[in-house]
Amino acid sequence: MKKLSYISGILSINLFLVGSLIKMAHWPGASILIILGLGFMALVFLPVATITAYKDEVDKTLLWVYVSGFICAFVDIIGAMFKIQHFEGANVLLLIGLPLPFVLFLPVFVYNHIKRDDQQMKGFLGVMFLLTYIVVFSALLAFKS
Amino acid sequence: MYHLNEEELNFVRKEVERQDIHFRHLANDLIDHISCEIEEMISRGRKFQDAYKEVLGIIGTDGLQDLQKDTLYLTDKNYRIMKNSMKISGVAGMALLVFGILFKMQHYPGGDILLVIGFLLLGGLFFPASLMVMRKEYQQLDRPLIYITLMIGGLAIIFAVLLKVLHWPGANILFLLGYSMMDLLFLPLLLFSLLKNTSDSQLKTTYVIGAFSLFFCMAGGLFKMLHYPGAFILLIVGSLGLTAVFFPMYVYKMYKASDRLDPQFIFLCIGMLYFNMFNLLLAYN
Amino acid sequence: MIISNEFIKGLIKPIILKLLEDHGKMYGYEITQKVEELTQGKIKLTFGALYPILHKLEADGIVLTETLMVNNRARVYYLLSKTGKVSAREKIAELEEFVRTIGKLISPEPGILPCTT
Repeated sequence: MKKLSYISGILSINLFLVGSLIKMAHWPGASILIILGLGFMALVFLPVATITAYKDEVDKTLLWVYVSGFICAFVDIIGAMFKIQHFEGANVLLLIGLPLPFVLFLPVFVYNHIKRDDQQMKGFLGVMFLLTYIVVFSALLAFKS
Repeated sequence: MYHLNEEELNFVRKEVERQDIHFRHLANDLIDHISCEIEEMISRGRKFQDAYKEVLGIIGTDGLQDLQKDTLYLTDKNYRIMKNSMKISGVAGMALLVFGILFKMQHYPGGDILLVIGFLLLGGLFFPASLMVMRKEYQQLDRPLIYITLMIGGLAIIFAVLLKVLHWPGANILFLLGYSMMDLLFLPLLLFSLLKNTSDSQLKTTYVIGAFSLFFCMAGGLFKMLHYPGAFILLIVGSLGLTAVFFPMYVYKMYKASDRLDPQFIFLCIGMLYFNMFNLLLAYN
Repeated sequence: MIISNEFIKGLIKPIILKLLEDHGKMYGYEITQKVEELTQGKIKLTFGALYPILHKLEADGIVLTETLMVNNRARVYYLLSKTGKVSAREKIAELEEFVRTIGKLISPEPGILPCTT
């Protein structure tokens, strides 16, 4: 399970990357790789890795952090895939998916962080920086197109 | 009563050093206290190695570091205020920003105001404050230049995006400035600092590969924005180097030893995905 | 019976001040040992609890530190400062008053302290 998590994670992001690069070069075969990469990530890596990580988690009350993280990541990745491949329903998914991490995951995460009187800044800052990065670049992309 | 010899004391000193205890004389307090505990156990018949392991077990992997953080928190009121305002402004800024984007996309009124306030909170409060907190708590990477370049570069990018969104002039230049600062100043400084602080040569190689890949990746993005030739090659080499070479190597090194799946890995995968996605989209829009 | 942490947390500061008042100069380990000895093992002061408070007392000017080389290593001794002695007296008086008050609350007859086993 652990090995599967590591391999599926690395595999899916690389599949997506190669697919994107091929797409930019206008070569054939891009779509398959993009769909495979993002699909594999959302349908295999995310569930398997989240469950495996939670099983080994010492503090079981963090359940909601894991669940909300999973839901937000799942919706966002599938939304991105639909948008890139111009599938139906992309906009709805993104409309929900963009604010979702900030109205679902972020409150749950911060609440748990404060409740634990957690002095561990590394994890907190890491998550905050990633979310900041996502929101700032989403803003940029939303307004470039 | 047994007294620890120099060699045994060095074991204790190393552990305190590993956890980066730097606040005033806390290191001395802890080295002495731990040594006393061990000496007590040895006087009751334990061997040094067993006593040492037991005391460390009681402390926990990051116990000393947590202790230092509690101490910092307790003694420095300004630090405490800054830490709390950092957290609040971070969360509030993000929330406002997200709703600002949504409102604008749906053409509701008030979107602009939300965006501006959100950006100001994130860029003006959260980002600088979090860097200051990071600097205070992770002194292993304490070269002020690293934090300065990171702060300036990051602020430039954040405000460039704000300008772009508001259709104000100057966005592109600011963005290029910020991006270049990150790529040409912050990244090399970070690499040097990491190399200096790591003794493991495999890890050093991994860091070098990662830094160069990231460098090419971002340079490729820059070239594309400036319409210089060669951008695509840089992007390919950079992003593949990062995702297909550095990341697996880094993951292997970091997690080989641990028996549990660190949620940090999931987090890193998502981060890499978004980074590639944004970098490529940026270069091609 | 070891007394649980939730009772002790707020009392650690006055306990430290009382010990320093009685014994003058003490180092961290010595303080934890004294507490364990005087309470016959019922109160165990962990250094996670001790050092943040010692440093806070130092930052507030209530205690001073002296570092001496002992057994190959630097040992930090804590002692009450001039102003520290005054505020220590106040805090300890407060603690003694507190103990008397709680005693009255717990025991059914006023003025009689409960048996401690």
